[in-house]
Amino acid sequence: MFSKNRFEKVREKITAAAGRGNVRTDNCTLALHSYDSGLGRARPEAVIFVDSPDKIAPLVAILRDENIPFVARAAGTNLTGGCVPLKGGVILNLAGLGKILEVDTACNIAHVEPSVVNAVLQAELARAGRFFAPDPLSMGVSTIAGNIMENACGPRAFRYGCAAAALHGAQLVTPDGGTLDWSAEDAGPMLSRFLAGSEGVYGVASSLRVKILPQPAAVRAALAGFPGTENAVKAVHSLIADGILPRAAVAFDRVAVSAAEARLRSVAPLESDTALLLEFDADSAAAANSLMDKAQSACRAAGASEWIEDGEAVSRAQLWRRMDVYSALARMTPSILAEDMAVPPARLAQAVAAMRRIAADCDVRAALVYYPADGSLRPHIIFDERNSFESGKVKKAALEMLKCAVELGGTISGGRGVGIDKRVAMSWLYAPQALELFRRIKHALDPKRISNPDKILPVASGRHPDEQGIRPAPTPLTAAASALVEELKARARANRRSGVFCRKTRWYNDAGGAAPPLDVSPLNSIIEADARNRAILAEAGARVEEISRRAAEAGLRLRLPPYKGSIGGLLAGGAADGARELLLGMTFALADGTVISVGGKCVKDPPGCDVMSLLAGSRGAYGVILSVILRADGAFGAQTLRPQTDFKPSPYHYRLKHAFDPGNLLNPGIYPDRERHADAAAKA
Amino acid sequence: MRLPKLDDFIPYNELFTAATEERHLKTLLTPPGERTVYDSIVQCNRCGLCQESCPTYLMTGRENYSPRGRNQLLRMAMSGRLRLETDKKELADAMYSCLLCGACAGACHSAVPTPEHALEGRRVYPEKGAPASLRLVIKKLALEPQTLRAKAKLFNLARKSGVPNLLARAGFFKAVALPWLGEWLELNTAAPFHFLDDLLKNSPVMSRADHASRTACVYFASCSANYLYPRTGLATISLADRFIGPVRVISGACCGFNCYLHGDIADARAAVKKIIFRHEEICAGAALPLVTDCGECAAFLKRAEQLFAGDDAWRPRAKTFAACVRDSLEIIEPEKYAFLLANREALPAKADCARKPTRPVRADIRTARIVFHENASGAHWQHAARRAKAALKAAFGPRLVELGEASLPSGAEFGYPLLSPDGARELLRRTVRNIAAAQADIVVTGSHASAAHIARGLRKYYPRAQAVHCSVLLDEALKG
Repeated sequence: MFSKNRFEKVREKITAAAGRGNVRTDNCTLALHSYDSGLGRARPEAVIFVDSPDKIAPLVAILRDENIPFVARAAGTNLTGGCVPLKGGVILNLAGLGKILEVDTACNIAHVEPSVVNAVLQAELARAGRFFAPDPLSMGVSTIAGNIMENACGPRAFRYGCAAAALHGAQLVTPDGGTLDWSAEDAGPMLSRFLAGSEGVYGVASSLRVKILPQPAAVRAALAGFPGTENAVKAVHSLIADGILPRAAVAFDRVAVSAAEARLRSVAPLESDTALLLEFDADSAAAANSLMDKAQSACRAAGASEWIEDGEAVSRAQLWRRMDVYSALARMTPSILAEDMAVPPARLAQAVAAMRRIAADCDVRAALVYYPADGSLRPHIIFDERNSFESGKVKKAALEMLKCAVELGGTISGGRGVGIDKRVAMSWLYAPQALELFRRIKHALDPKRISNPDKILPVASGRHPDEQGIRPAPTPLTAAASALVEELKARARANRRSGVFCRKTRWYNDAGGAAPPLDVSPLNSIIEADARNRAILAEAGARVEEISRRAAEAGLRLRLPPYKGSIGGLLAGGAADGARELLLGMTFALADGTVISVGGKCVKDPPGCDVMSLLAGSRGAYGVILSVILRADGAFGAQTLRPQTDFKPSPYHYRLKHAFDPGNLLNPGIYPDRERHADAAAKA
Repeated sequence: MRLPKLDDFIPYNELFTAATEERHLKTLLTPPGERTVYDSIVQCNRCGLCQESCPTYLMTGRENYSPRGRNQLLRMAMSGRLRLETDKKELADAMYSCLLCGACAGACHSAVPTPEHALEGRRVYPEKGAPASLRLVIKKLALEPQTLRAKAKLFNLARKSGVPNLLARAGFFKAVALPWLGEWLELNTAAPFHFLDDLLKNSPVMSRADHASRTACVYFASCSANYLYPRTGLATISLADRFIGPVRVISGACCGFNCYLHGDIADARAAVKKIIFRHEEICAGAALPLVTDCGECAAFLKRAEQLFAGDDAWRPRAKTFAACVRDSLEIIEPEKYAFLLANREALPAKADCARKPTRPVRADIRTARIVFHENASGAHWQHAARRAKAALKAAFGPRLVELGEASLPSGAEFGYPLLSPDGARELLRRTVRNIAAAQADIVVTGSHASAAHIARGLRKYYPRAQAVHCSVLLDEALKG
């Protein structure tokens, strides 16, 4: 598969660059870097311990010259094989890069090296009255770079967002050994946001700037017992509908509750079928107490028969410890497959029931933990991985559960990435044309395929006939959208360019160059205001003010700025801070008329390749946004308009442009440099 | 939920051969249940949560020096993916670099007993561990303590001349292949001529008469208490008498922990049996608590059943005995201590068996800033620190201040300074830095080894502060 001597050719150079003692090829060290916290295994050819961020770029440059793949790793706690070197090559062990470089409480940004442990950062921030929102269950050991790269989510994700929402900027070492510095404030496509969830396939982050938040004055928690899933889900949904956003809402099925109670031998065990752990934060103790009262009322109204609040008898930390299901399960068997996926919130009860059926059908023991606010599901399947028969059943069950999530309009990752284990499920989640675009993007940014290769994208090129149509069909295009797509196809066949525009609220004079205009404003329908899933589906040309009005009419909470133009223009122009966090899904057309849909009504970023972040701010040069699905639960808002700025594309942008629109047919004036186009084409 | 049956026919290699079988344990008593060593190792599911609690991983950032890495190395060696002989260097290095502090087991979801696994790994490579000279001393101490007693007195007398310490600093012991002795001399500055059992010779606590009805607890004088820190022993006996009742003392015996760590398990069993015999003799059928102020001894004796897991005759006796063992940190009831402290003028005076009046605590206890360092044996092996901390809080209120990384091992644990002096010094520097940051005057700990090791660091870097054993401080406070 690969030459044994591949690394030996560069050993001397690598040792000189990394430092003597930092390059290991002994059996034991290689074996210790062949695994992470998942089930995958593959052995590297060498391990390089990086003791300074400045060493990463020179090391990658040497590896690039010899086409030696590399995988960056810190704590190695990935659950989907993200740290496993499938193609051999080198492990860049960044565990030594754990400095907190700066905490800026005026701008609320922390600047960190990649391997700062989440919990260590939290402790440091607590001293300054701040916290870092992402709280994955591995936060005691997982690192900031790992959290960002996997777009990690924890119980606070609904209220405060996943790791991607917390990323402000990054310094990236690209697979060709260059170093780029990106910020959320940059004009153009949102490259820093694009990096989040990329699982290391586009390079290595050598430092990160993350957003931090002021600590709330008061946090309260309670544990409620319900007769069933529907009741717990109903309680949470009614709170959100009333504008009360829980800091955390985690539900546990009977199996999970029994395991947790058995571990602690609770004096008064919960008797309910479903337990719900709720947390609320507020600016004052009185406000937090008021939220608790409302929460109790909502839970009782939804059928809660048990209610335990934090207080003198039991602390908030004790409530969480009581429901530490993972610890309970970990003592029962040697192995746990902690799967994760998400469905639209309204389908959650159905998904839970389906997961239970799958577990029974596959004869596996699974405890279900799920988050009613955002539709995340975390089945924990216990088994002994040494038992190959049992392992086979478990893997089958896990794939069936992923399939089920996709069938219900959901997604295959709730914050743990795709890695190796879920590559096959990418074929269920995305149409072939979307996967093809992802491949082109990967190829544009890593033509030698050396940066964490063979992750995320399915290896098999075709779709198995039995797997056609697992994902629900996207909402059909309106007549106006269909007409626009046909026009794009016709222009592409004739190699004619298009100056894409909508309502000209922000007009980029030279974007279209001399190309004939392509007006998106006829796509102005607000297709659906879905109160159950707290989402709005609108065409790109729909006016922002109209969308806000429709949302309010439907009882939804959508915070958009007072913008006269279209939603498509707002997004493509990068006109509002925070707009990206409102995006749940998008349908867009490429220059050749290929229509691609990503995301849906799931309150989770679509995994694999965050094309929405590339289209946001692209000013119509990467693709034509046809419609968007916006999050309307009030957790996030985009109410601050950004000033209009110039955008000068870098060579990196040109490479992305080549992946989306190799003929530079859309808004060619934004990417006028022929040499850079040629360079991008040559690298591809 | 039904527990899955483990497949009996999954092939794996034991860590021992027929020739070395007696060096190893066959099963481990783990929190999820009794397991073979392999099954116990496999309980590690690689989640990695242990890493942030492991001092060696925190210092190096390398998987070889993490608990997960150690477990996976052993697993791969037993499943044939690594070879015990060919990969000896890295395997031995990973096992011997472990502090055995047990912080990982406390952090682990499954409470995987990684220190026990590391010890089993060490037993594959005894030649990489303690040198033969040290193993000989350990063996003698465990099996023939009385023969060492006279030698120890002479040695302590010689130490008073200062010559041994000079030789240690000059590197003499390194030159004669006894580097561990040089480290030991630097670590343990105490050199009493009168041992604890000398001081207690005519005390009723030493009576071997069968007075079970008048005895409420047994004090076990560890080697360190008896030969190095008799003042601590006296303090613990005084506290045990106040909080439990009349005390009888077992002295002149070694618990065998060092044999378990660095020598032969068989010797450890023999040593523990002697103590069990003596305890049963004093108890005469009752289950009297056995108190010791050596955190390591307490942690080990509480696991006595583990030593006899394959011995049907001794296992129940060891289990009963282990249930009686108490660390001195555990015997103080905070409310009662607070009451005694408030009424100390009315307390009956305890006869001070020390030959001359001593002031073991330099600082003024009434005003000193105090921090509590949770030695590994107390914090992680026994989870025994809570009560002592509450008692200290009751005694000293706001003057007991938080110590940063309080449960981070100081490097003193389980012979680490003798096996890995550089690593031990690195941890010690970090501990002293935290002590200095807290501006402490007194550092309290529940282990003689920790107190000595921290004292060494304080002498060098922060001489204002003093390390004392918890028993000494609490006893001194009661005396006013």
